[in-house]
Amino acid sequence: MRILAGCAIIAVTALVAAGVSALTSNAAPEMLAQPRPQPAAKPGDAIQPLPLIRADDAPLSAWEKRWWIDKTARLFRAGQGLSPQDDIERLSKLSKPEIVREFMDDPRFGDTVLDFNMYFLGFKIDDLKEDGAYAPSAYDFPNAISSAKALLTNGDYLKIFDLEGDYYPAPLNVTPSEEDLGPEDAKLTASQLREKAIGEFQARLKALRTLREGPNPMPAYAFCDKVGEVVDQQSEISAKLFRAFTDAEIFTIMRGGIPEFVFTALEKTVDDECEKPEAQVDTQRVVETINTVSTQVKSAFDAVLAFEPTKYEPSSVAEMKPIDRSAFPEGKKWVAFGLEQGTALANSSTNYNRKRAAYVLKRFFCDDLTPVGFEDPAEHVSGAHGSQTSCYACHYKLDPMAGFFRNLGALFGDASSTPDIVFDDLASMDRKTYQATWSAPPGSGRAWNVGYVRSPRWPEQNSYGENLGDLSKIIHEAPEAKRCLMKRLTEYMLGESQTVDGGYLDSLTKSFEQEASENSSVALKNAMLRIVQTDSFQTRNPDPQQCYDYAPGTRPENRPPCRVAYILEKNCVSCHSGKDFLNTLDLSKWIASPDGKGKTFPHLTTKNAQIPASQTLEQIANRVSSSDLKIRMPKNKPMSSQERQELFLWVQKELAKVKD
Amino acid sequence: MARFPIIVAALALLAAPPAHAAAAQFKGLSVISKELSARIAPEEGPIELDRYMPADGLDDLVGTWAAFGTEHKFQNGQPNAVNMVLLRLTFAGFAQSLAQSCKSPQLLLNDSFFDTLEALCTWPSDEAKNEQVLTAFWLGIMGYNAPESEFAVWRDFVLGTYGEKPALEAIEGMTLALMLNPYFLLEQ
Ligand code: HEC
Ligand code: HEC
Repeated sequence: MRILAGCAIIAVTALVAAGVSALTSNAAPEMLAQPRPQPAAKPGDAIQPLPLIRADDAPLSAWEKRWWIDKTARLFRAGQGLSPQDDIERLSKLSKPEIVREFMDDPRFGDTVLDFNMYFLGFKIDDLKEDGAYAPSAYDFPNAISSAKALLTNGDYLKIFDLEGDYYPAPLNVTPSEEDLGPEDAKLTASQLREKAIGEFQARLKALRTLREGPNPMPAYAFCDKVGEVVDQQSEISAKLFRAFTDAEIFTIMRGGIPEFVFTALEKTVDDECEKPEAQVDTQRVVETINTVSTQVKSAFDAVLAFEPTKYEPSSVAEMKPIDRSAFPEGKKWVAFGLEQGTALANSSTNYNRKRAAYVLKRFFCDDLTPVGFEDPAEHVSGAHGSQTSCYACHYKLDPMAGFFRNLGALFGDASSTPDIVFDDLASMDRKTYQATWSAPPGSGRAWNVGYVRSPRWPEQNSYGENLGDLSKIIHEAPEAKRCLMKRLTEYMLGESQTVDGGYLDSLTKSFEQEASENSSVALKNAMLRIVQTDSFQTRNPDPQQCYDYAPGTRPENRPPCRVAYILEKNCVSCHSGKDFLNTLDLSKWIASPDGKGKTFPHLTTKNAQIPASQTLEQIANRVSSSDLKIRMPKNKPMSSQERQELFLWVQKELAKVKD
Repeated sequence: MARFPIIVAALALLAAPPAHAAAAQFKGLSVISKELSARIAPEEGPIELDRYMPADGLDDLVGTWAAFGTEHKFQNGQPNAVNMVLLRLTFAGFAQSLAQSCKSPQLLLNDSFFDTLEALCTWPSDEAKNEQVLTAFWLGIMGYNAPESEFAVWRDFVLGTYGEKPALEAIEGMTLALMLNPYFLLEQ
């Protein structure tokens, strides 16, 4: 609280958290009167999976089939369409699934998957390869690589959801990046310079050790001073070592705890031993520490030097190899956020990891944080937080998500065992104080107010956790994340601007989920096969506003516009259709508006007159985004935040249309 | 360069933009280079169209994935006056190189496209105007990006406009006409 005192969010969070605890701990009488939500929305029960091979796929003319083959080739071979090496005559005779399988067996398919994975993570680049070698950024997203590699061997494609795991450094630099190298250094090749710099670093440690060797070892205090000197020169010694490496390489080495670990260990022995009277100083212990760190340094640099470009030059994703994490002092948990994400998703002493949280919500859950209100949990407490509700509309989920990163400092570096946390803006703060921001209120049954929060009112819908491992698990289990993956896959394959019917997307996701429970790589490949058979993919110049593909059994006539038709069916039509008690508003149909301005939903006044589109739309916008439970739709039912945002944005767009 | 206005006018007739061109974006030079390379270049020597840009670094202006806020987004893909001019200059440079290849090698080409170009270099001979040669040339540059009907329109345009012109001018003109076709340029 210290730093953010005065920040409205924290106050609101505390207030609301209190409300939440009242809900969970003792059944507040007022709450019993509230209708309970439906058992945590289990979408999917009514959703039908898609067949793998489309039965109603109309045959294409010879020319159009070649167009399809070329387009599919480009998609699955990382941009490379048909070339004279391809036997187009032979390919034309194969069925579409046969063609797809053939392209998926091409080594270039690994690049497509890596490219898509980077798209999913929000960091796609134009060219994975430059002059035949992978671009440096292609190595910057380790979970994208792990997952692409897994896919090639039918392993676990969903490693894309792992926020910790292996790390895949690029081959070491061929030309030293430092500009003002000394004249001696400038004569060396990059590889020679590395050897020299590492050698100097090791020599520095060895020199310390030799002081206590031989018949006349240096006296204890003098020895202590020498070790202390090395500790004091940490930044000079590190800079000297790093002159042989690029930023990306330094990032990798430091992530592994080198050379920080050396200085920390030395400092600790010096502190422990050298304060004692000289006769009691255990110099042997100091020497042993020097030996231990020397061995560790050697093993770490052996692991680094395995990436010498003479030995390592991957030409396909299959050939990319992880660094030996066990060779590093901090190798156990290697965070999947690389240098570019580390830089782009910088944290500060005021940001409280919210940038990182917004990133996770957007990329893994497809939640863009459009403010559409929230189920107000504290209403019965005092109705107190009036003006702050607008902030809470985003922050109720942003702040708990941010908590997963509370142990990570600058560049996502591990700070879980340091007293202070250092941020990317180089400010620092007492770690315990900082983390107290996320302490769960007493009685909540949790230590931390950290998690993927779907609803502040109905905590049983939320997924709580403590660390990045938990977050990975939550992403793996969340239906939203798999749907998000499928959504991005359609965007990647059909174009970002192409509207895809929500029902189709749910069916695609359902198929993916079913198949992924056995093998997620097969599931992803099958999803891709399904998408190249869609009408969206097979129509030239598709209209981006139109939907071409639907869930099995859907009849699109008379339906509201396809961007929202399915969302309305799923969340609203059970109460608002012609047949039901609320027959004044029918959200299942789409008719001409009485004022002649476009189309609208059937919506009648008590006198059976049709209400103008602008009024209906305004009411919908209000009903969907209000935090007042008496007004908020769907009435006393949960609705996914993603769908709510989509509906809200669509209504805003329609409103703009009818208003001008 | 004086020919430009004629070509552009012809293009307006030639390539009725796809119905939803307004929403369509440029593919970007790197995507186009990769596509083109697969069709006409040998594997070891891909074509890099950014070489023909009037200056370095301008490829960012014709559709590229670049940092935007905390993430990457496809930027400058929406056709506008600036990127249209840049693309035209770039393609004109490439078309010229390709035509000049009739006189002296300018580009690494794969065997099958080399043969096609060799035949075209005899323009306006009958051999060059042969339907097969023109189809092979069209497919080399355009692939199957455009519907079959577009080929017929282009062929008639080429035979009409360049029927009696010297080879270099004809090849340059027909290449440029192909590359400025929306089916070649736009994401679909
Ligand atoms: C539309 C969603 C949304 C709403 C509404 C919203 N925020 Fe935020 N807030 C965010 C996001 C996303 C971030 C992280 C932004 C980043 O760092 O890139 C953030 C960051 C912050 C930060 C950290 C800023 C920093 O980096 O130092 C504070 C403080 C904050 N919000 C307070 C508020 C307050 C107060 C309100 C209400 C007046 C509010 N927010 C409303 C989404 C929202
Ligand atoms: C569980 C039943 C139920 C569901 C599901 C539901 N509503 Fe309602 N809705 C109601 C009831 C009951 C009313 C009228 C009472 C009131 O004003 O709150 C209403 C009223 C409305 C009104 C005001 C109509 C008028 O003429 O005043 C709108 C607009 C509306 N709902 C939109 C929606 C939307 C959009 C959805 C889906 C996101 C939805 N509703 C889902 C029960 C439901």
